[in-house]
Amino acid sequence: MQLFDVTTQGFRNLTPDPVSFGAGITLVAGENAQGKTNLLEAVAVICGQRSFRNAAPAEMARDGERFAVRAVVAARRGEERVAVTWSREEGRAFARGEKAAGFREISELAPAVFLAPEHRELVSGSPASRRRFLDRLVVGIKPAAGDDLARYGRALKERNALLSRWRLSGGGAEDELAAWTEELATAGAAVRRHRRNALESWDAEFRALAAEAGGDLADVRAACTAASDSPDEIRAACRRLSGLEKKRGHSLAGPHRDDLGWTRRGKPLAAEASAGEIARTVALARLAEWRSVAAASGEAPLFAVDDFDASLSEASAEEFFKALPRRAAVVLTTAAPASRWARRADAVIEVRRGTASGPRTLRAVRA
Amino acid sequence: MAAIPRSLERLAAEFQRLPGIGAKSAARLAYYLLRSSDEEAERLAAAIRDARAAVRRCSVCNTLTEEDPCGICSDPQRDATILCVVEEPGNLAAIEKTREFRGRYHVLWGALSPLKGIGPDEIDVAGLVSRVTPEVREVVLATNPNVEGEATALYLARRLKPTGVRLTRIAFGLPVGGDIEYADEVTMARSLENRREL
Ligand SMILES: [Zn+2]
Repeated sequence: MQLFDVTTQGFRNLTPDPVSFGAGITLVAGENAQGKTNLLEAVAVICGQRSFRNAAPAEMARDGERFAVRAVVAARRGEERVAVTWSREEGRAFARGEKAAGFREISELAPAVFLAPEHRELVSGSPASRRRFLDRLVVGIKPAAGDDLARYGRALKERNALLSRWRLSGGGAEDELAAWTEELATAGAAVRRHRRNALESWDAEFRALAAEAGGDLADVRAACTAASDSPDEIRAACRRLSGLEKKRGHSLAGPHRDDLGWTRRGKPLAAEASAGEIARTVALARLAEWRSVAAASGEAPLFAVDDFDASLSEASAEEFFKALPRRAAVVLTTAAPASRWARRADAVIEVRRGTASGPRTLRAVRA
Repeated sequence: MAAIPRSLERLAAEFQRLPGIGAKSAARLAYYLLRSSDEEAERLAAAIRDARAAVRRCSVCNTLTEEDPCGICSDPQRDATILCVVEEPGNLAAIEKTREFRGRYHVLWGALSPLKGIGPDEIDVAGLVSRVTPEVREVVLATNPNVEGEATALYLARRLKPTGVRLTRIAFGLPVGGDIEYADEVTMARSLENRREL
């Protein structure tokens, strides 16, 4: 997947000039606070993803009120014009050509994998960020599974609304709760099955990459904490926790409580790994995501790395460039002078005060 | 200095309150009506007034009707031993179009949704329960195949189980999350034919 003519309106400090990301490595260079990460964030948003800095839309809108990002997505199926607009009154809306589209349709059309310094949370942060990683993996590998994720989300919200009302009113008809528990169990089991399948294909890629990296990384493992993906497990847990759920006013069992556990030789990774090891583990996790999504969809996702050389020694840079996906559009931002990595790149974009100049094409990119 | 007369704005605002009408369509409708003849506008106003005066809920099945009980409830040819439960009158109309179902209906007027504050007392569960007398052999649960419709079917199944009535759930060849009102007739007919036991 390649992105052409990316333009923004009212997005952070970016000016509306078009920028393109063709095949090969595009280096986005600029000093801090000039807007290179903003540009990458705009790319994430047009690909139907959330900000990798976990920014809310209002933060991305320069005036806090509205923004728009447009681009031409070039994929195997041809070229299509996509747009995302956000405004405080109307929320977020996607368009594909002239027609309105859902975010899942867009993220399937424009697959992309992002790696940013913030993603260390994938190992050392809260379980919620790891569940987001799992679910992104699920829809990347099997877009139709998104329906089941949405179904579970909806069942969970409904059931929580009931429990929270009961907490205030002191209870209600058990048959009503039982109906929502059943919906939760059915949809929840489907979510766990999707996660298990996605994790399986991801894990094969991750192990291969970890083994290649060698050293202490070779023994890093990730596994889902869910014991079973049968609806009976969720039903039984809801029965067991029923008293506590009514007291707390929300659901305490199901895939929204699962986690992805990272270990090395049986010990929790976050507790014993150095910051550098965690950063490299996360990089391998994203590369494995790229590979498994590419294998499942037949489309090479865009691969983007924010501040890619922040903690990269000259020696590990060699290893990093070697590991980058081939035949994909790769976007790397750096605070270093463009000249430092230019010989590795196919095109260079320099960002100053929100304006991107380039791409200065170093080799023919768009055949 | 208002660019749009206030009464026109009010008309557009009323249209925008209708389901499926956005700001642009509402403005288009309002402009259209102002350009149309007095007679045409009056006809629309009269149609709204008359429909509201003439149409009420059937005291048996809750569907919208001009006569009470409705044509289906008062038709001796319809099988009174089989009841089909739907969320809205529009769903009933979609099933009627297939001509596959010869029983009677019960319209709930909604589906369970704690998020919207809708529990069993906010839809007509009580009416349904009272209609499931020993002479009723089967209840077909034809609520929509989305989260709320499925939970409603599960809830009704639990409530009606003690009566011993045969409970079936319509088998959807429809996309999950869909609305049976928009199903094509063949899909709808097949869904009725392939209903499964609950
Ligand atoms: Zn009737």
